[in-house]
Amino acid sequence: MSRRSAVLSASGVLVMLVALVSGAFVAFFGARAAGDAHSGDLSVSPIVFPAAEGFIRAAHDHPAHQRLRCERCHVGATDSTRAADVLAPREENCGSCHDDLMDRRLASAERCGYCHEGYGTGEGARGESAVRLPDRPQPRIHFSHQVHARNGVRCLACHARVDQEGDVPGARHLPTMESCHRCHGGPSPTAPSACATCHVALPDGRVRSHFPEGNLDPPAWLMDMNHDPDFLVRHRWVGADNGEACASCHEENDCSDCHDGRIRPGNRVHPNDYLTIHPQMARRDDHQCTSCHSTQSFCLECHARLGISSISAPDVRSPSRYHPPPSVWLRGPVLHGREARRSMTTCTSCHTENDCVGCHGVSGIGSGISPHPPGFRANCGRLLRSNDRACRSCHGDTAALAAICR
Amino acid sequence: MSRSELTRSVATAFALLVFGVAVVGSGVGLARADDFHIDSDTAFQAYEVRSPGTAVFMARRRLLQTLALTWSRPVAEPAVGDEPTPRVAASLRLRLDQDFGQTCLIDRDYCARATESGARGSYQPLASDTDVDAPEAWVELRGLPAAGRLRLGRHLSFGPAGMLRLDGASGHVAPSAWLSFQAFGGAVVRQTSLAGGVGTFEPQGIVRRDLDDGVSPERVPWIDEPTTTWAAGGTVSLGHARYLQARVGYRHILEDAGNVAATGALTLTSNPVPAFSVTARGVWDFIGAGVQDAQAEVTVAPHETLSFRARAEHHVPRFDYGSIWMYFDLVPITEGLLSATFHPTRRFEVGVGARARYASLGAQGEEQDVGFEGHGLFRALGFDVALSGSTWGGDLGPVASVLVDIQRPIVWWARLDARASVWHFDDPLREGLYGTSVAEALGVIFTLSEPTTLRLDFEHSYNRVAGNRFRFIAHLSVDVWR
Repeated sequence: MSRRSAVLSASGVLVMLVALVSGAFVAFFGARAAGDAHSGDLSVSPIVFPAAEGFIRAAHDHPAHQRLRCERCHVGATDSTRAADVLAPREENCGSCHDDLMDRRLASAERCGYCHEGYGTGEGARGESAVRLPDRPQPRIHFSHQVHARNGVRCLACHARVDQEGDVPGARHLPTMESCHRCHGGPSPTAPSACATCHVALPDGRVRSHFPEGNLDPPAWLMDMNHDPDFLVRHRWVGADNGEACASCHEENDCSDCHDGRIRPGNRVHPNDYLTIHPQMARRDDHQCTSCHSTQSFCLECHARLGISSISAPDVRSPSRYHPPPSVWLRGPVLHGREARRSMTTCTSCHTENDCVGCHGVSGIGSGISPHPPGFRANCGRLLRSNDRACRSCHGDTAALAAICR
Repeated sequence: MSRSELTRSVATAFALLVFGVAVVGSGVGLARADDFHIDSDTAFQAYEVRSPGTAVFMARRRLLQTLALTWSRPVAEPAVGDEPTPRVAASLRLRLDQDFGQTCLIDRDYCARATESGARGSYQPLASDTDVDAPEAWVELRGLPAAGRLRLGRHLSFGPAGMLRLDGASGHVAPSAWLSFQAFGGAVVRQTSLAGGVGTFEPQGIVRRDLDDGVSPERVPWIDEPTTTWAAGGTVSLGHARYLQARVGYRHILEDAGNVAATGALTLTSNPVPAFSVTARGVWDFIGAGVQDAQAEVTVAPHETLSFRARAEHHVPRFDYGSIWMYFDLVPITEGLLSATFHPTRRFEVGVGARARYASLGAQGEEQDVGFEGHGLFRALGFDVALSGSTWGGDLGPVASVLVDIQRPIVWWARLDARASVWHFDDPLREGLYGTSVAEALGVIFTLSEPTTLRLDFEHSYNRVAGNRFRFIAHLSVDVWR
């Protein structure tokens, strides 16, 4: 690396770090200032449970409340069959104990705000401060309290810690996928474990994962499917091992849209002027490039049309050399041999077999130089019997080879 | 069937699909139990490609139209316990890739058309102005007992040794959470396959094409005749990741000349608690009797806001065993990664990582590269901001980049996307291929209706090698169920 390159690279890293650190501060404190309904509840998806407002304040840890059964206030909970059912306590359910606070003629922040979170911030019918109307978007999940109650599932098994934490219940008391999986997943599921048992499904049975507010991504702990930035690299292994799990949300087209190399897959894969940078990147990540781009069609076709391939038509073939001078590329340090070892895929993006056979084949000028790896002869009989096309390409008659390669 | 006849056949199928979509769209004569999915992508891109040192440039004006129709119908009552309803489904996806651009020698008053077979001085047999193909055409039974699924037709098959597009069958069944089977078999879809194929997933190494009328094989000795390539394989998964899960797979690809590939794969996974997982994978090449790929990864999350990952990967380049490339001395590449991610809220994430890359070139020495990377994602005051950067240094030459992507809704039906990036590159193999590239892009994403989005992007970049580059992209996407 030249000194100039090193300085520039170091500058790039410095800029990156400064940007990251400053961005981190802005984001962290910005998010805190803006208020994040789910900031402390990473395991509760805001797509499944959109942020709600206007809860009833109820100190579940109050001794009087702890003596009550949950259905005493949440009337109808054990008969509810839909997640959208509103099971918050109604006025008459609270009134048996809190009747003294419910005289509307004596409305005040102290009295009404005792239960109604945000009292005074809403707009009443007559314009005075009043109870803020609850905003509880429908959860995007199938859930029957009735089925769970009939199967003996206790309320606290899903609404964890709600009996220990006072004040306003919130997202942190909603069931998480991890808690659901205690019965609906794991090695010995005791309840249905299909995705669509709980998740909203499309008509073909796949989980609906795209919503106006964002995408429903799997949790980090589930089958290594954390859709973080590194998943761009990791998904090939996860997909190979858990293709059926991927297919529970994705259709085949989600793969081929990127991997078939037709539509440019956005900024993340090929940013900036990737056309100029791609030779250097291809040598570094050749096996990643070939996951989308076939060297013998995509790469070779473009390079041939541009005149930089050995198969380019005569009128478009570049008069200048792409590679370093023959004195170092073909003779002397034999740089082309080193590069071929290092990244043969890159070679095949411009060259066809004939280019190598012409020199390294038995009748070529380089026939004395074997491109085979060390120890090749010990294994060549088996390779010859497995597929002799390549052997014929260079050696012609394979009968003579068969005598050597046993 | 010649290439032009193939193209006409697929174009007819395309027209029939359009008609089918129109019928579905109008809701004529559908049973209530039938569900139809229409998925259409229309992408237009305009950009220019020029290689440094040549007089040729390609003015590309590309239209990519993808149109798919999927039909799905329940074939039985839902099983007990809310398990999926058994369904039969069928899908046909067609794609048109049209290049309106020109390939010209701009320094002379001469336009060299690469796709005209009569133009001997400029004809390029691999080039095509119009490509029509059918990436998907399948019938499927899904939601069968034991999570069973059976698919017949043209579809993708996945495995540790890579992806294949098959004209064949694949199936999956999982009798319990501890045991599952997967199997596939069929003809590998090649560029030369019936009804329009694409060579993206065909084995690498041998160029096979149908030649245009009037082009003799002697004129293009580097092109081989089409052949049928068969592939079959399967995977057995045993155990549960909560303790230890093992997956054993095998894939064999062959054609008339002999074996193309024969690989076995083993994956071991353990995820005893959400905070810890370890995975090891290996792919063995039975023909070459050596390791083709190996990978191991450990993830530790001491807190739900913090995770660490260590990964090692070993990869040996692989080609079709019928091609000469497979018998050259191919050097394995070994890579390592250490990374950490901190995400205290859903609106904020920051991560850093270090990478290393190593290859031994035997007597010609070693190749070592080290890289660092970082990213930040945050949402505040209505802005979604993504920052990332990376740097590499070593024998492959220095590369450093910083990228920022900011998105913000303007109105409920439009979202602004602004991107900027700076890359520094210095290719040690190409004299003069170094520089710093600055790029910026501005896009708007319109939500025309819930299933319809339109994205317009305009990009500009500048560097000393290529000068100014511009790219315009318009992408209309429709995704609707009826």
